Amino acid sequence: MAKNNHADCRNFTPIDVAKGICHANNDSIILIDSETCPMFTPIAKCKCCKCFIEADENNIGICDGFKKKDWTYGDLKAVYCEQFTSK
Amino acid sequence: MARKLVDVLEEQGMSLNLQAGGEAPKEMVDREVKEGATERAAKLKDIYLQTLSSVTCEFPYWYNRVFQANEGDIMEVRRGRALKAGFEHLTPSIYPGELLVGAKTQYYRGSFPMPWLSEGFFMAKEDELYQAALASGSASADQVSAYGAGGGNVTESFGNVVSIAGKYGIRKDEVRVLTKLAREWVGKSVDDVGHRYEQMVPEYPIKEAVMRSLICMFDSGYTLPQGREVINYFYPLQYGYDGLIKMCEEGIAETAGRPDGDGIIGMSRLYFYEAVKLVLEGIQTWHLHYADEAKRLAATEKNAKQKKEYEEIAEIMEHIAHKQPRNFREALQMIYMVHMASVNEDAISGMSPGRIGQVLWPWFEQDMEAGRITEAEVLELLECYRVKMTCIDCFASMGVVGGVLSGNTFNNVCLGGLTRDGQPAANRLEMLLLEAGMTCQTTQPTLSVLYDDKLPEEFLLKAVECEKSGTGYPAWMNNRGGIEFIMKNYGPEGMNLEDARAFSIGGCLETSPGIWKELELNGKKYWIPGGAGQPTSVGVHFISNPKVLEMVLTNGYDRRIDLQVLPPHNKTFKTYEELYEQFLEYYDIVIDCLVTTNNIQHDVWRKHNMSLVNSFLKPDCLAKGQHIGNMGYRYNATYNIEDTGTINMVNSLYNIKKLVFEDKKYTLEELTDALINNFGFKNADEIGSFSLEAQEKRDDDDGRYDQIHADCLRSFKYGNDIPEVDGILAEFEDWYCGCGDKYESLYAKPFYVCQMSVSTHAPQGAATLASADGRLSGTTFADASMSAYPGTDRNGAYALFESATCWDHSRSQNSQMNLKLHPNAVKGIEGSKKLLDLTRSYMRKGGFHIQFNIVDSKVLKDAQKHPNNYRDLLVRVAGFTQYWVEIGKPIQDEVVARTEYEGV
Repeated sequence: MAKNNHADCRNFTPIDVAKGICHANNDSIILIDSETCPMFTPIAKCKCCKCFIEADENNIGICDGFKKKDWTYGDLKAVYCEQFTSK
Repeated sequence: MARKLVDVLEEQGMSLNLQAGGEAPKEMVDREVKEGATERAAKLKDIYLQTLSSVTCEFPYWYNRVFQANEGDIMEVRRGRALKAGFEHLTPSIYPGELLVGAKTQYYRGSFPMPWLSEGFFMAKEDELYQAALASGSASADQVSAYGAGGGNVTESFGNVVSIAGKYGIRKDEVRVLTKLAREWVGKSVDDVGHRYEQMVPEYPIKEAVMRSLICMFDSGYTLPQGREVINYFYPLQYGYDGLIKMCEEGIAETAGRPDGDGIIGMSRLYFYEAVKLVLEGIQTWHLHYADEAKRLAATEKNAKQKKEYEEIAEIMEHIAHKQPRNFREALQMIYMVHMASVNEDAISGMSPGRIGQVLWPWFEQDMEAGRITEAEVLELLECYRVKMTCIDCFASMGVVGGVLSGNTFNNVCLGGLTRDGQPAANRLEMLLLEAGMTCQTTQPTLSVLYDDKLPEEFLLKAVECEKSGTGYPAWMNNRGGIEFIMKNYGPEGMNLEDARAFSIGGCLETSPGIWKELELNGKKYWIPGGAGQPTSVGVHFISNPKVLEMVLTNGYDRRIDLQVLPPHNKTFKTYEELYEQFLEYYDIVIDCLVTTNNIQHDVWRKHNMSLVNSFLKPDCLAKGQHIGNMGYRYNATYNIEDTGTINMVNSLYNIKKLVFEDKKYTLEELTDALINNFGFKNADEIGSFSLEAQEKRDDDDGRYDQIHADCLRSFKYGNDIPEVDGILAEFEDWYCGCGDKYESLYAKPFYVCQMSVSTHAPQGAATLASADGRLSGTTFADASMSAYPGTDRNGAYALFESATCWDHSRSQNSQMNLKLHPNAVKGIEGSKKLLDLTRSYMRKGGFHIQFNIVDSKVLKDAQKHPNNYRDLLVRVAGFTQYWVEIGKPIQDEVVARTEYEGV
């Protein structure tokens, strides 16, 4: 499994594909791929969900949380997914 | 050392003077008016300036998943469910200091692809993108700091970011998601289905060749099917989303199973209401998620002021998710979110807010009277609005976003004009919109003044002051001319004078029909304007006038791509009139094949990808129970024919007439030979500059074309009040402005013409041989439609105006004139008055549009050399203001080369 980055953290609000704001560190702007800190709190993503199965090397797998199964990807945020169940 | 054009001209006793009306000082002169934004807006703008244009698959993932899951359902409802899912699953992001929240995506400046419109690009680039994703991990993420030149464009891949076409960045983990999504739409997208059917048009082979040769710039049905129109905020502002859902429920109850006399689409009303209800529910949930996010942030926020602001955001978003806004801030937040909802339903540029100073007036007036808000607070909110609007990005094909739009999204706010009963419509809130445009200089929204002699001097001078700050806005549009056009074009659909006064500008300068709606707030009634017409700049765009003329000279054969594009005419022209007749014949062939094929694309769009968000916003969809595709909008005759390079064509026709047919100094074959051989010069892309002055002779040139080139350059040119040249423009306009009448859009309405270049004068110039006006191969055309070719307007601005107004501008949707002024030319209050007089003079002569770049050309040249020092330098291109560092070199060169007026 890929190492967590800041985009996996609930304290982080993305600005763009490279950086965002860390609310746990005085709203400072940080690069997504820089080292995470002890305040790291996982955000709901498909890869953290029990419904996410059979992921391939590109982190694309199956979501069986809905009536009709379909593919999904691990990095998809699931904060507002009605079927999200934390692993 | 290679001989440059300036050397050749010098030998001929000529100069290429790009200054008029005096000489600029040697030192660089900065713009005169400078103001700063509030600390809050300045910080938010600063984040924007550091932000990369970013793409995410979140919305398209959910759209695609739900759309596929509902296979078999009615298309409107299927699309309604898909859009609902997209909105409901968007992750909200709120940034510290924001007073207005919301965005297209989770990113500050985000956008997303819509493979259901067109997926071909991703399929073609699948392997390339994947290889970039594999390779990118080896580079350092710190490289992000290197992106100065290019502004927010992700010009190359770095770290875990992959560049898409040198513009957008995507996280490498999402590359496979993007291509997987695209694959699901192969053969099903609007692009693919439309292409399948457009090939059945008998003239399709010509259309295919016309597109390849770049006689025409792009298709419209799957690229930017909506936009260049004016949004309408009335319904949510009046009824709130709860009220609109109730309307849909009532509509369902009234129409289910009842055609009510319409045997074709009467039954469709049920599906429309159901689909809109679904989308409205999705939009409500999207608002409520912002409220949730604000509460979450408030819960952990230690700073008391920021905590309170998050709590206020939560309360506002919870309220406007359901009800009519209660105050100015809520109303502004609502229209901003409506706008985001609109631009998230389709690939859209130019969805213009319109006359929001008049739309929001009821809340402003009542808040001010009640002492609930101060002007300083309103100004701060408007500055925040500017930053938020500037963050809008549009994800469309590179040819469209880069080549046509220069990355701009054309959200035009109009000021001034007249009220429903013919009184000046400018108000105090519009003064603050101008002030915010000066204090918080950003590209969006661009501003336009609907100039009318009735408007107060104080307002007009405020607009001039804004202009002098160097933003390139406001542009000036002729209110009376616009009303005349609206009356002529929409009269057959029932337009009256009162509603014609509600018109506004969609996109950069597309005159768009509107209507007044009566809004009630706290028992007081107001008439507010809003858009009521279909998208414009859909249909045929953009036809390169010099390229059509080139086809006449080359017997329909394009030497750049070695292709017989148009049927050979095989004629020997004995007179200029015969040649001109052939030019019009070719023009008609081009229009005809583009009309029929684009009609099919748009027909597929309306069947598979119809608007639901804009359909519930625009009158009279909710009343009729019909979406845009079923002509639910009040006005539907909006399809147009756009052109570019008019002035190069005019100057070229004049030279052909004079040098070949009247003076008989050269034969047409000799002239054509000189053009094919680019007068002995290299092609512009060989030397990497696209302005005339920088062009270089070929090493093997023997000078045989020097004389004919000199004659072509030194002849009379448009822009100097010379009747012989202007007569050619007038004759062309007389034909062109009527040419749309014989074509029919898919809505069975006639076409009309639209005249502006946006940025097409660069790529279409690049695809055109040298022209008979002396322009060299591959160089950019004259900008706009009424601007003179750089350096050729030598008799002052007023002579240029005489030339430009030799025809009736109200017969066209617009015309476009750019003037570049040195800051010294309009210095001080006297300079302001001169600028207003200049503008007024053009308007009174019947010119439709004028806009100004008030900038020292030396600043632009320095910015080309040192882009990192000019991240926030704004310039006016052709109907829009853009960050200098985000526009391509051909357009940069063209803006540098424009004639600089040292005095007016």
